[in-house]
Amino acid sequence: MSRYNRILAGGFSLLLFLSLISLFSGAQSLTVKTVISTLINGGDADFIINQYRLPRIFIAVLTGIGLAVSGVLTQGIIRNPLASPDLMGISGGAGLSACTVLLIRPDINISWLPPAALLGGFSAALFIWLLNRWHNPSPARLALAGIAVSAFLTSCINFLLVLHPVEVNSAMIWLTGSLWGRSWDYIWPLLPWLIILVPFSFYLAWSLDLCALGDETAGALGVNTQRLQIMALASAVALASVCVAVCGTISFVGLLAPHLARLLVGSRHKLILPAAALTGALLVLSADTLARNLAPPLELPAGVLTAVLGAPYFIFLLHRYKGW
Amino acid sequence: MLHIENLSVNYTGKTVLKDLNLTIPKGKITALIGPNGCGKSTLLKAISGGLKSATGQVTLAGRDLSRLNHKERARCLSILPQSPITPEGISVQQLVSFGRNPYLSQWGRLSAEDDQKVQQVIHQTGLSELAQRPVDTLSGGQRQRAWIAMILAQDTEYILLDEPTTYLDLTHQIELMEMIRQMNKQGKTLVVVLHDLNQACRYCDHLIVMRQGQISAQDSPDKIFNSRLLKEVFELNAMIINDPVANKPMCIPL
Amino acid sequence: MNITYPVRKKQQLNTLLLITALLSGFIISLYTQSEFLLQVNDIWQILTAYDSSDIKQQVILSLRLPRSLTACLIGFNLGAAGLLMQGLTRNPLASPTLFAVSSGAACVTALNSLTFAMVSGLPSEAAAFIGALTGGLLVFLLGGGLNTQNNSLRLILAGIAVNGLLTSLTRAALIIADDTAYSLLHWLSGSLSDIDWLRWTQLWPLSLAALLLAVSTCRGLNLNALGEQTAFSLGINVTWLRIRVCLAVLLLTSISVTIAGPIVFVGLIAPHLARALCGRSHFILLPVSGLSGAALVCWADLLSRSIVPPAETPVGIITALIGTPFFIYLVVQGKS
Repeated sequence: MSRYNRILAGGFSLLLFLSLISLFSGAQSLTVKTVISTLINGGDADFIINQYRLPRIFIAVLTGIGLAVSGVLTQGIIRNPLASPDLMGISGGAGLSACTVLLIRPDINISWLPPAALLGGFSAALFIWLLNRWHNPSPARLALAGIAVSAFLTSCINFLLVLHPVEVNSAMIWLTGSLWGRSWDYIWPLLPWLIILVPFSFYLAWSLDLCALGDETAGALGVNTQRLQIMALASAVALASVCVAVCGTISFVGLLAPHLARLLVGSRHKLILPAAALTGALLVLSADTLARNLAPPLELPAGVLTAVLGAPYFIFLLHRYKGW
Repeated sequence: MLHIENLSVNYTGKTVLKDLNLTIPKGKITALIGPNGCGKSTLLKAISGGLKSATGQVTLAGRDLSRLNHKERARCLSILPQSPITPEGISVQQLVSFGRNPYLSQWGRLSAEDDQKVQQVIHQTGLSELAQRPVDTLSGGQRQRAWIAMILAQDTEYILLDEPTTYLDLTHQIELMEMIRQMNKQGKTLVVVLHDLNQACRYCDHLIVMRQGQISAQDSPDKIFNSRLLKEVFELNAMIINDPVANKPMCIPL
Repeated sequence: MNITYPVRKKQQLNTLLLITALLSGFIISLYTQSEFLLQVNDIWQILTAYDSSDIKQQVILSLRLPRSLTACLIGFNLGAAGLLMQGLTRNPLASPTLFAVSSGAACVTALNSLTFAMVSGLPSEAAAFIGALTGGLLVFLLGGGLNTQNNSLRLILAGIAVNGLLTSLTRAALIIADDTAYSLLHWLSGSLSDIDWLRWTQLWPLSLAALLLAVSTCRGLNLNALGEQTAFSLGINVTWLRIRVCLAVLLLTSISVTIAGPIVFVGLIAPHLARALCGRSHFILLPVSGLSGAALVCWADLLSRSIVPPAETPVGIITALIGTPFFIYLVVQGKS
C-alpha cells in the first residue's frame, strides 16, 4: 500500500473510531449493549442515539467535508495561504442571510436555508471580488479586508440577535457555529449540494495544479484561467454557504484542513482533496464531540473549539508567510 | 510565420503599445530589446493572447490566434513569464508534466506517450537526477532549466521567453542561451526578451528594437546594430566593434 | 529639542466643532428615550431650580448623568489609547481592538467568573488589566513586533487571530459560567446599560492617572514619528517611552473594558479623525483624539438606545458596524 493510501486508510479508521466515541459519549453515557440494540431495534435510548447523536455525527462529517473542499478550492485559486471561506467573509455572508431568514420567518421550511445562505455567500464573495478589482491589493491586504468584511457581517448577526432575542444555544450557532439540535431534517438540504459539488471539485483538480504556477503560466499552458476561477470560486462559495446554512460559521476548518492535507500528501489537488475532506470531517466531528463532553449537560459551540485550534495555526502560517 | 498587425495596448488610459506591425521569422531566434518600460514584456504577453486590453490581430500560419480556444493556442505557442510562481512541493517531473496540459483532457491523466515525452525532455535538459526533487529546493539555474523543460514538454512551434536570463549568474546565462540555441536547432522559433545587448547580438538571428511602445528597428544584428541606434533608443554613447569570437557586432559603452 | 507645530485657525475651529458635537450628544443623551418624557427644560431646571423631590430631575441626576459621563470618559480613554498605540507603532491600523487588548481584558474578566479558573477571585479591574496585558503582549510577540523590520500587516493579522481565540474562550467561559443568561451576550458586545455613580467613581481616578501618564509621553511620540533610530539619536530613551506608552494604553483600555465590556473600533477611528482635524502634534492630537472618541461613544450610545426602544442594542455593536467599513477602507487604500 502506498503512503498516500495508508494515510487515507488511517484517517478513515480514525474517523470511524471517533464516530463511535461520539455515539457513546455525551450527557448520558450508554453501554455498548444499549447502543447496539438501539441501533437495530430502537428502544428506550432511541431518541438519544437515532434522533440526536447519529444525525449530528453525519452532519458533522458532511459539513467538515464541505468546508474543507471549499477551502482547498479557495486556496488553490487565490494562491494565498491565508485564504479560506470564513476569512474571506463568505461564511459571514451566508450566516447573516440564513440567520436573517430564520429570525424573520422562524417557521420556514429548513430546505430554504441553503438557497438563502447561497445568496449571502455570493454577495460577500462578489464584494471581495469587486474590492480586488478596484484596488488590486496585495494578498495580505486582501486577506485582511476579507477578515474585516467577516467581522462586519458578524457584528450584523450580533445586532440581529440582539433585536430578536433567541435562546443562547441557537444564538451561538450563528455567532460561532455549533451543531446543537441538528436532526435528520438538516441532512437533506445539505446532501445534494455535496454530492454534486465535491466530485466537480475533483474535475477541477488538474487545472488547479497548473494554476499554482500563476495565472500567466497556467494561461500559457492552455488553461482558461478566467473560467476556472469562476467555476472553482462558485463551487467554493456554494459549498461553504450550504454548510453554514446548516450549522453556522464554524471557523478555521476551511483554512486548517487544506493546510494539514498539504503537509500530509504534498501539493497535487487530486490527492489533497480527499485528504482535506477527511481532515475537515475529523476536525468538525472531534470539535462537536468535545463540545458535548467538556461540561455536560452544557454544550459549548463546536466553533469555539475549532477556533481554539485554528487561531494558533493561523499565527503559525503568518510566521511562515513570505509574500508581504 | 507569426504576424502581428495593428497591435495596440492601453493600460488605464495610457498607451503602452501603439499600432505595432511586425513579423516574427520562422525557425529563427528573435531578440526583443529596448530600454526599461518600453513595452517588451507587454508585447510578449499580447502575442501570447494573455492580455485582455490588446486590440489588433496576431496570426499564426494564417490562423487568427484569438479565434483559437485556450488549448489549441497552447499547442502552437508557449510563453514563459519573467518570474513564474514556483509552487511549494511540486517535483521537477510534475512541473514538466504540466507542460503536457494542452494535450490532456480536463482530468489531467497522462498517456504513455505524454510520459515518454516528459522523460525525454527531462533527459534533454539534463534534469534526470533532479527529477524527483521539489522545484522550490533547486538553485536558480536549475530552476530555470526546469521551467524551460516544461515549455519544451508543451512541444510548441513558437516559444516566447520573457527575460529568461534575469537573476542568473553569467555561467548560467550562457548555459541558458546555449540551450535556446539547441532548441532553435530542433526547429523551434524563439522570441526572447533580453537585457544584455551583446548576448542578443551573439545568439539571435533577428533583432526587434523597441522604444516607447513602438518599433524602432527590426532586422538582423549585422544590419541594424550600430552606434546611432544605441544613441537613439538607449540614449547611450557606445562604440560598436566586431566580436572576435562570434563574429557578431558588440557594443562597448563609452 | 522640541518640535513646534503651528496651531492654525482651522484646527481651532475643527476642535470647536468637535466639542459642539460632543456636548450636543451629551445633552441629548441626558433626556431622550425615557419613560418619564424628559425634556431639555428638565436639565435646565436642575441647574436653575434644583428640587430633590422632582422625579424627573432625580432620573436625570442618578441614572442619566452617570451613564452619559461614563460613555464620554470611556470614549476619551479609548480614543487616547488608540492614538498612543498608533503613535508608538507608527501603524495606522493599530488600536486596542485589533491588538486584542480589549478582547484579552474581556476574556480574563469572563474567566474570572468561573469558579474553578485560576484567576477567580481577583478584583475585576485586576483581571481586566492582566487580560489586556496578555492579549497585547501575545499579539506583539506573535506578530513579530520585536523584529527589526516589523511588518504592520502581519502584526494586525496576528492580532485578529489572537482576537478570535480570546473571543472564543470568552464565549466558552460565559456559557459554562451561566448557561441561561442571555445578557452576557450584551456585555460581550460592550454595553453601557447598567452604569451608576458607583461605576463612575471607579472609573475616573484611574482614568485621570492614566491620561496624565499619556500626556507625559507626547513629546517622545512626536519624535518617535521620525523612526526609532532618529528618536534615539535625538536623545529619547525609546525603551522607557515604550514602557510608559504601553502602561498608559493598558490602564486606559482595561478600566474601560471592566466597566462597559469591549467597545470596539473607537480606538481605531478616533485617532484618524483627530489627525484629519488637527495635524500631527501629539500634544494636540491626544485631547482631540480623546474628544473624538468621547463623541463617538456618546452618539453610539444614543443610537443604541433609539434603534429599538425600549430594548438596548449593545453600544459595541454600533461602533463595530461603524468601525469595520472604516477599517476596510483603511486596509484597502493603504500602500503595501
